[in-house]
Amino acid sequence: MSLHYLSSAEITQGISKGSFSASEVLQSSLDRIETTNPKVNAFTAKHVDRAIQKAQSIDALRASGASLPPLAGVPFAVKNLFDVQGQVTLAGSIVNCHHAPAKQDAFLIERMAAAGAVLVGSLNMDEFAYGFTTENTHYGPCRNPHDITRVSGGSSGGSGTAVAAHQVPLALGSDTNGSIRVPASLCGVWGLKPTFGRLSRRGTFPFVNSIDHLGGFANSLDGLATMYDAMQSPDALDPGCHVKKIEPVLPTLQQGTKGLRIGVLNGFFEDNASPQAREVVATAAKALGVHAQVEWPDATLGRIAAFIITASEGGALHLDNLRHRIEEMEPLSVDRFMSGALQPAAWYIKAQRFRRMYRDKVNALFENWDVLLAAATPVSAPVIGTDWLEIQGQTLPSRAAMGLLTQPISFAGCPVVAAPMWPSLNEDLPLGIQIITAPWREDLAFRVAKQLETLGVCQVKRVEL
Amino acid sequence: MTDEQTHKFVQTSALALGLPADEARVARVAAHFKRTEVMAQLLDQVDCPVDLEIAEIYCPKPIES
Repeated sequence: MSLHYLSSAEITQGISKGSFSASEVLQSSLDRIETTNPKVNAFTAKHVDRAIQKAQSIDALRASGASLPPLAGVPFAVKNLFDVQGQVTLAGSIVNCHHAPAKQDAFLIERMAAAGAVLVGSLNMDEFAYGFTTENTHYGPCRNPHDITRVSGGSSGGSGTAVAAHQVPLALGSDTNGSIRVPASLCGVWGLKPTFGRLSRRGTFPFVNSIDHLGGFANSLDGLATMYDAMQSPDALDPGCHVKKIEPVLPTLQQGTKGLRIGVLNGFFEDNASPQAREVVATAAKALGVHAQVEWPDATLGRIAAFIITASEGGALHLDNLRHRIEEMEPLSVDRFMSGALQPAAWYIKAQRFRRMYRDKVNALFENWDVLLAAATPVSAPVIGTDWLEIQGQTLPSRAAMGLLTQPISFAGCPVVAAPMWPSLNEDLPLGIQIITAPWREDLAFRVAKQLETLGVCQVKRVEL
Repeated sequence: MTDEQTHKFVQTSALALGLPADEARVARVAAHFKRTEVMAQLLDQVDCPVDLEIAEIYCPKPIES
């Protein structure tokens, strides 16, 4: 049996029944990483010793007859901006190499470990999360498992690739402007960017404090839901974590879509989508019996404001690196960081003030709608090194344009499940959709995703590498 | 700003912040800055009431108890 193809539910059930052990699952994952990572370059570090210890503890727990936690023995990996005890948090850079090793795991890693999951390694990413393609100059480009000449998306490219390449069934990432949804779309896996403020960010290297979200990737929707429920927790030590209670989605996953008001985003979201991107949205809408077209308020301005805030906060965060270590920074993003650092304060403040108006308009939209659909990326994965894209007659910079459709959504803080789809115009390359809901209503996005999975519209495909 | 003014702005601001300002880098940064400036002009046209404050820690929607 090829254990590395299994979903997290199949793994926990198999371990529980005694069909295989957590140690065998771990070995299968490590073997898969060994044979496939030279092709896709997803992992930047493996944490073998602690993984072996954790898997053995799960096997001992089963042998004792105790009940197993929900992710018992499930291997997972994290974008390398998550603190891992004893490891330097690189955040895709070499300038962080001189930092002291982390004293403890990131909060979400602790939550995953408490649920029985086994951390196996850290993953490639765009330097300091400023990019949508994971063409990392220091550690090499992350390659798309469906075509290794193409990008995996970013900035959590290693996370999308590791799941798509069946190295691990679950991975954690971060999403400021689309950095979970873009690689989920291009790699053909499930992704979740929760509501801003839902999951604690404690113990991760920041990019844009006022927009950063953490979330995850999975090879199954049930796995994504289980992981999300396991990671939820109030955290008084993270001022950006707003929640006071856990709101699990697993119990409502099968409730269907009856009665939900579902629409398709038009305007900006059609104008910046390729024929393939529009096709997958139309396919999902048809399967759900959805005909309504909905306009997202001020999408262009929302994207602009997110762009300006990102550049300003990112540039300010790395001012010292720009002053003293600029030659060691990623050539593909260092000039954008510097440009951001030079932006007038008035631009930043206007963008933040606009965000309040924008939030109110978006929340008003969700008075009339429960779930909205849009493509996750304008196109499927471009070839590594692509500088420009043609989208609907516009010539756009490739690395920035990949986030066109995600940026206005995360700026409002809305939760999104990114669902894997396969346009008929190019069946070998995935292109996902965004299932978007009002803040704090992840449950509705999961219900629609489950319906699409049940109907066979959204699926993760096996990759031979 | 004209291209020349943008170039000078980048050069001078970089000096003010103690950032490297060699000609090749200034030219590349100015190209990015110019694109952002065009976007910022669009945002500048949005009328914000004077009592509209920036968010302290952004919250997308109050949580119902």
